Amino acid sequence: MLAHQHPSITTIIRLAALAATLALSLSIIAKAEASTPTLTGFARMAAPLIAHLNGQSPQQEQEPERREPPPVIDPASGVVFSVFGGSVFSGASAFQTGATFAYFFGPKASIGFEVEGNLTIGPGGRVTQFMGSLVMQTGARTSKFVPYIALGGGLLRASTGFPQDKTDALAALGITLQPTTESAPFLQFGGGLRYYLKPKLAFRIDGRLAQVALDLEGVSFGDSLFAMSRVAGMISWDF
Amino acid sequence: MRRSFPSILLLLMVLPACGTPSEFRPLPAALGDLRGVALGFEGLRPLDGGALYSAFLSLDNGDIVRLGGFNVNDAGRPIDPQGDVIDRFSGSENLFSSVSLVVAVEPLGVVGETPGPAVIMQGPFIDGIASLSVPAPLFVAAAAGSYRVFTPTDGPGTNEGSGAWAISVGGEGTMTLPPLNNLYLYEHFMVIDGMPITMGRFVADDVADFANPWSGPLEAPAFPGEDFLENDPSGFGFPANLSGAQLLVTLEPILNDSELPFQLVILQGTLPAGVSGGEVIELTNVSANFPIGTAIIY
Repeated sequence: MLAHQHPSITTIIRLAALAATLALSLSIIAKAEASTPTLTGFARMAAPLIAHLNGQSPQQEQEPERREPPPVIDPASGVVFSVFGGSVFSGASAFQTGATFAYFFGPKASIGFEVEGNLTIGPGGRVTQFMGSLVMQTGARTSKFVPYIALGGGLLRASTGFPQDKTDALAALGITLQPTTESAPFLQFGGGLRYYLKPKLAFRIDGRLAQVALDLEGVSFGDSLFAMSRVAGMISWDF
Repeated sequence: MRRSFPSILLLLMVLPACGTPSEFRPLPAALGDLRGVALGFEGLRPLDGGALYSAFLSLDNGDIVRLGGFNVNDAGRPIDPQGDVIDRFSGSENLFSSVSLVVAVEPLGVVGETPGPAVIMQGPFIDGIASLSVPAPLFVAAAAGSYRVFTPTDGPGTNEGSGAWAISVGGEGTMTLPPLNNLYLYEHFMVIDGMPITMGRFVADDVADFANPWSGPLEAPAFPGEDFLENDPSGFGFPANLSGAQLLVTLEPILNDSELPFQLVILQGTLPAGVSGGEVIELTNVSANFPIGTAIIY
């Protein structure tokens, strides 16, 4: 069963968009980390006092502070709730919607965990997913942009739902589709960007790549993998 | 940690090339990654002599996907060389965006990268289902005609029951055939004692066919027809006795010049017993018996 194989334009665009998102995330993380003061919160407030004790004038320490723009928003340790809609690009485009809860730790909130549940409505059925991610983001940000990367895994359940005329046509040929449902674990990796519209409200774009391990008999592990990718737009609330 | 990101990213970008299982699975199916095709036919004849049917899909991006070769059983289901029914032809890429399917006859049993010229069925997909039919010339169902039994190439009054021509006593054509498309030619055959013998290919009902290999020395009419007088091939005895013979007008693939009639018979008629010349053989349109089929992406 051979074919003339060419990566389609849409596939190339999708992969390019995902790669660009991830690259942008990594780039912004690196720049933000490099430019972020290491002292935050109370530590930053104590800096003039420490300088005074070291014999330096508070005015001398305040000069550089005046030249830097103040942080727009302080990092948010705690819970972030997001709802989203997006598209899964495995096969035909399929609509995906869901919600996530994340919790970020530490004064810079650079590491967190996120759980997500989603539903994908495809042209041939539905897929529900539950997954968890370790999220690394820029903490102590000095802009409204918070890029992040995520890595995790989860479990999905897929069920076919072909239109009745297709099911009837297959039945006329003596073909009954089996199985009609399956569950499978997956690993996923991705990244994205939050843009804070308000101190507690952000727009978020998220891209993920996943490898699903289907339960197939008689094939190698590599051949049992099924790739999924998605891009979603989210609204996030910080608590 | 930064050093590991590019490698992880690269790994996950490369892994999608692992592909999709060829068997039916709910997850790819739900997401529209459909790589299987089911085929079923009515009236498509089993092939022999090593010939095969081949099936090809064309996608909306212009790609041509070869599904492979097959024969059919009496129930019209595709079968493999072992005779097992093929429920699912697998494509190497997503077939969700398939535009159409073509079935061709491969006389040598070799399936190439594109369909052979002997296309016998095709059809467009609508919501993943294609109704397949013969890409016959338009209005072929209205084809009609008759042949007159006589032998103009050996002079009058000689062996008059050994030839048949689509021309009236008045010298006018006696067949009404629609214009051909770019896939087929017309050909007519005489089936004598169960053995078909060609009378030649032709392109229209009012011009001579391409050859008169069995006719006599005199000039043949400028209309389709043949006298069975000379150069008799093995198994035949000329001048032929056409009593009870069957006359066929078929559609033949342009580039598949088989000695046997293609299975797309448009007109057929039977010569009476005791034929002696002068009889008019009315032909019946049997194009309604052309094969049909169904293809389903799943």
